[in-house]
Amino acid sequence: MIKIKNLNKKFGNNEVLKDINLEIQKGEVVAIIGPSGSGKSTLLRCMNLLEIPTKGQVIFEGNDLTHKGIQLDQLRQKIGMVFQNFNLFPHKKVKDNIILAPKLLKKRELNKLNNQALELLEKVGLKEKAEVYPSQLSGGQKQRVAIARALAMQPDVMLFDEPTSALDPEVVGDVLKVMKDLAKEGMTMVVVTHEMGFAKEVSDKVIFMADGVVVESGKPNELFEHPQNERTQNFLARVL
Amino acid sequence: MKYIIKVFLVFIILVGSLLTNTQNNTHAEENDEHWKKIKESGVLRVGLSADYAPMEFEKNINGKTEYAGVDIELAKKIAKDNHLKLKIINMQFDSLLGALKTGKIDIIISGMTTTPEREKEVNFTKPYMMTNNIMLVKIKEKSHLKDIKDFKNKRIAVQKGTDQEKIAKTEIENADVTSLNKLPETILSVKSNKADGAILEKPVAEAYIKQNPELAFSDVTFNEEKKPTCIALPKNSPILLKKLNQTIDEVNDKHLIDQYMTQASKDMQDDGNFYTKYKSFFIKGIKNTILISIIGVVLGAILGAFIALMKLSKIKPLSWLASIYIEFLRGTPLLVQVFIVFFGTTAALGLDISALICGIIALVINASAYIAEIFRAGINSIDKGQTETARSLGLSYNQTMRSVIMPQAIKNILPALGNEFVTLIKESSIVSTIGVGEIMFNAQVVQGISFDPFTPLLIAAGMYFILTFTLSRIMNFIEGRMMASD
Repeated sequence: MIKIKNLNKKFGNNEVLKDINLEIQKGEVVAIIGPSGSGKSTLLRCMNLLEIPTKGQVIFEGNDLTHKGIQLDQLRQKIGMVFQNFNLFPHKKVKDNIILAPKLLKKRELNKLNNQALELLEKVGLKEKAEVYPSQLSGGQKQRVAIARALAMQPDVMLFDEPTSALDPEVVGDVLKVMKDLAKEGMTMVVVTHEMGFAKEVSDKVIFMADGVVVESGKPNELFEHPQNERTQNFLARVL
Repeated sequence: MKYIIKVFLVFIILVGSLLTNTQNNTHAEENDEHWKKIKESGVLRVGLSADYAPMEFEKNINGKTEYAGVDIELAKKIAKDNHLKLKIINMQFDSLLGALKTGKIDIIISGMTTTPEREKEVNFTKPYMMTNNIMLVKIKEKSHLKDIKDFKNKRIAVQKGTDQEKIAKTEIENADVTSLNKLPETILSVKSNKADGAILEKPVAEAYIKQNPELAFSDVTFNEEKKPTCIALPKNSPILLKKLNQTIDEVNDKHLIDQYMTQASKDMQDDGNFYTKYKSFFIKGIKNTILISIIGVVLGAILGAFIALMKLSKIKPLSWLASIYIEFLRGTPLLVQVFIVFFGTTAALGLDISALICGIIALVINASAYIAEIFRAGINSIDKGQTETARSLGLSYNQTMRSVIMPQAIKNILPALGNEFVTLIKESSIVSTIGVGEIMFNAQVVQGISFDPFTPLLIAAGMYFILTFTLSRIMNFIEGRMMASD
C-alpha cells in the first residue's frame, strides 16, 4: 500500500532520515518505535508529504507522491492522519469538525454525512458530545474526535503520530481501545508510539529507528523477545 | 546638436510672439475680440478666490452657498451697467492669472493689487480701492504698543510668503517673526498670546476686529506705500478696459465701496448663530471624512489581504516585494505619501485626477500596508497544526485558508482592523492639505469666513471624537458577540 524507497530528509544540514526503505501492506498494523529525535515522526509525516523528502520516493497505491504535478490533495483524502496535539478546529462543533472536510470535498450528501458523523461518534463513544465545542472536551475525548474526523474521509490507511503522548495516563486506554477496534476491522495503520504494550499486542510489524535509520524490524514477539541489534537491546532495556 | 535645436526653437517662439503681438496691437483699437465674445454670450465670467473676506467669501443662505463681499458687489454693478449676466468662478488665487490668459474667465476681481510681474501678464483698470497693512494687537496691549519701536524684540505673526512677512522682517527691529500657512492662524496666535501682533491688510483686519472684540489696531504705521487694488483683464481689450473704467469712475465718485463694505460686513455676521451659519460646511466635511475613511478601510483591507498573502507566499520574490511595500509605506509619513500621489499623478504620470481621488488613493495605499501586517499577524497566530490537519484531510490551500484558518484568524484581525479604521478617520485629516473637503479642510474654511479662528477647531475635534468613539463602541459590541460563540 505504501512503499518508501531511498528516502532522505534534511533540515538544513541536519540529516534526519537516511536512506529509508520500507513497505506497508494492506491491512497491516505497523508500529514505529525508537528514542526521541530518531526521525520516526518525520518519517510518518513524509508518508502524506506534510514533510517534503529531500530525496527518494513515497509510493502510495501505485502513485509517487514526490512526483511533481501529482494530485496530492486527492491522494491525501485516502490517507488519514491523527496528531499528537489533536488539532481539532476550535471554531467548529464536534460534529462539524467531522463533516467539514467531506462536506467541502462533496464526498456525500449532507444528511448522509451527518448520519455518518453520528455513527463515528458512537464508535468512539462520544455520541452525546456531537453539539459541543472542542474547548469543552478533555484531551482523551479530543483525540477520539480527531480519529473520528480522520475516519470520516473513509481513508485506506491511517497514520498516527504519537496519538497518546499528550494525554493524561488515565485516558490513554480509551484512545488505545478505539485504535485496537480499528485494527480489528482490518484498517491499515502506521503508528508512531511510545506505548510498547500497544505495539506488542496490536501490531503486525514493529520498526525500531535510531538516528534516522531503520535499525531493526520484525514481528513484535521476535523484536521484543529477541532483539538482534545492540541498540535495540539497549532501548528496550530502558523502556520495558 | 540638441543645443542648436533648442536655440532655434527659442528664436522661433520669440519671433512668433513678437509678430502676434504687433498684429494684435494694430487690430486692437478698432477690434476687441474679448469684448465681442462677452457681448455675444451675454455672460460676464468673473474669476476670484472666495477665501478673502470682506472682499469675497462664501456665505450660506438656506443651506445654499452664495458669494458675497465688496468685489462681488462691484462685479454685480459692472454686469448691470453693461447688461450682462454675471457668472462667478471660484478658484485658487494663484490659478487666476492662468485662467484669464487661457480664456477660462473674462476678468479677475479678487482684491488683486498691481505688481510689475502681474502687469507683464495682464492689464489692470484704474484702482477701485487703496489698501495698506496694519498691525493687529490685543486691545489691552494697545496703549503700550503704539510705535514701531515698541515692537522691538516682539513676536510677530504673518502669513507665509506675503508682503506682510517682508514688512515684519525689514521694518521692525529684531522681530521674532512666525510665518504661518493660513491667515486665521496668525489671528489665533495673537488671541492665544503666542504672538504680540499680526500684520495684515486693513479691510481684512477690520473684519476680524468686528468678530473678535478683544482685538484692535495698533497705531503703528509702516513705511510702505498704499497699494492700488484693481480689476485684471486680458491685454489688448481696449473696449472692455473702457467699460470697466467707466464703472470704476462712478463707484469712486459716489463712494460706493464704503457702501459695499457695510453690506459685506452685514453679510458676514447676519442670520443666526455660528451653528446655523456654518452647519452645512461641517456636514459636508463629515460626509467626506466618512466616505474617505470607509473607502480607505474597505479597499485598504482588500489590498492589504492580497499583500499579506503575498508576504506569506512560499514564492520568495513575491514575499520580498510585499515586504518592501509594507516597510516603505510604514516607514514614510502619510503626509509625504499624500503629496507624492497628488503631485506624482500629474508630474510623473500626466494624469488629471481630482484631489479627492488622490487623497483616497494615498489613504488606501497607506492603510493597506498596516492592514497587511494585521492580516499576517492574525494568520500567523493560528497554530501550524490547524493547517497541517486540514491539508492532511485533503483540503486544498485555498479551502484550508477559507474554512479553517480565516474564520479563526478573523477574531484576532477584527479588533486590530477596528483600531486601524479609527486611525484612518483621524489621519484622513491630512488630505485637507491637498484641498480635499473633509472635516479639517472645512474647519479651516470656516476659520477664514467666520473670523473666529478657534471655534471651528473645537467643532472639528468634537466631530472626529464622535466618529471614532461611535466606531469603537460598535467594534466592542461586535467583539463581544464573537467572544460569545467560543
